[in-house]
Amino acid sequence: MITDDQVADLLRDAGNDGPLPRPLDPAVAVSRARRSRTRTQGLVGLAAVLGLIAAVEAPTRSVLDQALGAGSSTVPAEQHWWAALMPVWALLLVLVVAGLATPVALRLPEAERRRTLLAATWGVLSLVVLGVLGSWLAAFLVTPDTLVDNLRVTPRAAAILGWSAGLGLVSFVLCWIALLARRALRPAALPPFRGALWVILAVEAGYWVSIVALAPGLGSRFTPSLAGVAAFGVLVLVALAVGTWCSRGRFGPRTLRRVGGVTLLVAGSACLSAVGLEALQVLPRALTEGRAAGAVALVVLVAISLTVSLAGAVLALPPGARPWAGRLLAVLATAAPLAAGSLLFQSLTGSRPVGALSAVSERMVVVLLVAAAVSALGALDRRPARATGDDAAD
Amino acid sequence: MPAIGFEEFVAARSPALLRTAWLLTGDDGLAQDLVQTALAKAWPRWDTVRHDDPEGYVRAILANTYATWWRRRWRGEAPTATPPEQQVEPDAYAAADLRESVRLALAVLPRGQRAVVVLRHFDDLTEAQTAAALGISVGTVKSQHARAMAALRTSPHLEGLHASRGGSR
Repeated sequence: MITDDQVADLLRDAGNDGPLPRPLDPAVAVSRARRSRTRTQGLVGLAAVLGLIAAVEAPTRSVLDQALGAGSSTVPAEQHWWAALMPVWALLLVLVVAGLATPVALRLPEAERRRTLLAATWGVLSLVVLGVLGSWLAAFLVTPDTLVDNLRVTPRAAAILGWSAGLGLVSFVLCWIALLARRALRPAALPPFRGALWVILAVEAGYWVSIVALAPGLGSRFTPSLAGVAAFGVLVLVALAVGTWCSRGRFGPRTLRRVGGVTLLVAGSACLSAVGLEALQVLPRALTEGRAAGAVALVVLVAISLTVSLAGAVLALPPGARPWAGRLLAVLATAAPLAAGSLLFQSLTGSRPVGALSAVSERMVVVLLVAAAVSALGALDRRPARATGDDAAD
Repeated sequence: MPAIGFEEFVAARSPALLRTAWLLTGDDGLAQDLVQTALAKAWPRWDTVRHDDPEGYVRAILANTYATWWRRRWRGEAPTATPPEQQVEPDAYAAADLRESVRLALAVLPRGQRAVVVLRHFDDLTEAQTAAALGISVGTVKSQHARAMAALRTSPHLEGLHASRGGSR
């Protein structure tokens, strides 16, 4: 056995052995520290936003409840109107702020973190606006023949369809604008018009599937008719055609694989967002009321939607250093904003979240989903550049 | 002590910090990563620490980060009772043999004990300074040190090394 002093000598000799290592580059440490500071600031900002929402939530909610006919209202009518449209104002405010920040960000280098973050924000906003009305619009396509019949006999149906079409057009235009800004910040991103068309078609196809899948729980009126199935087929085919158009008309196995992959990813994520939100809200109740079959069916639907989205991501994304992390990020970046849009729609219609979401404000969940999606898309955008010809799937 | 700039400090002291980090991690790449992490943690507060004892501050972060780091890439290094045997180097490679034997001997120690031993015997910190650097009590430093030295005294790697060097030291 050796002594303590001998151990210490050996340790000292081993540590001091050989030439002195070369000094490190201080820029690496500084860059790492700055990244960490930015992350901390982002989390603090997110916490502040959530705190603000929590602070204003209760008074706004009571105004909203009264606005939506909770009985004896003492709040002036104008206040009702403003309160009920609060999510729309918030979304428009974000769009305006992002719009004001874009010209400033355009002066930054293309790979600069703030520019990438803003480009990701625009990408996420393009999906949020589609998520707001996506499910509502897809419901018309499940049984279009019934809709046509209703149009003949009910003037109100024509009004609802007209409003829905108008608001759908607004969603499309907002999505187009968002993709336009994203393309300006990130030239490799989707072409704005064709991209918006492609995404909206894929999103509607995904919502169509989710409505049909959830039909047993929602009522027989959402069982698809033959015309509905045909409408779904047209949606998918046109989405694939527009996707190919987005790839500047280039044909080939690689292009088709990517176009099919992105369509599957977006449609699967739309379905996942709808089914996932339904599961979050219904599962706790189904479990407590002993409706195990319904709960299992919902879980299976969520699993299938997730698998389809991941399959789309596998086809859409070229393998990177950590392929599964990239694919999961892609699904998160697509499904989270659509879910946020759906929750905004719920907030707009005044339906309170229930189930697992009942304890928190839907606005908080929206903020968290959007933050998660921006982070995920930002991380995806910062992955190493793809090979030539792989740029149209962003 | 005159105030020193961050870049100046890194240029002057990072080689010494790297040596400490190597003893802690036993790997050149991880040592660089550990030192860069410690420097990144020190940078935001540099204006405050530059006037006092910046090296002591960074060294404390270094040891503390090593002792408490739980991130994935670090979890791969788990202390084992019987580290994998390495081929014994011939005498011509005595220097490399010394480093390898010490690395293997240190590898069996838990992270806290290893940090205490390196700070006490390589960086020549007192028990109180070691306790302050690691954020633990002096009593814990004493007990960790005693356990670590007991393991190192009976380490076959160090005993063999000591014998091969003639047992003179």
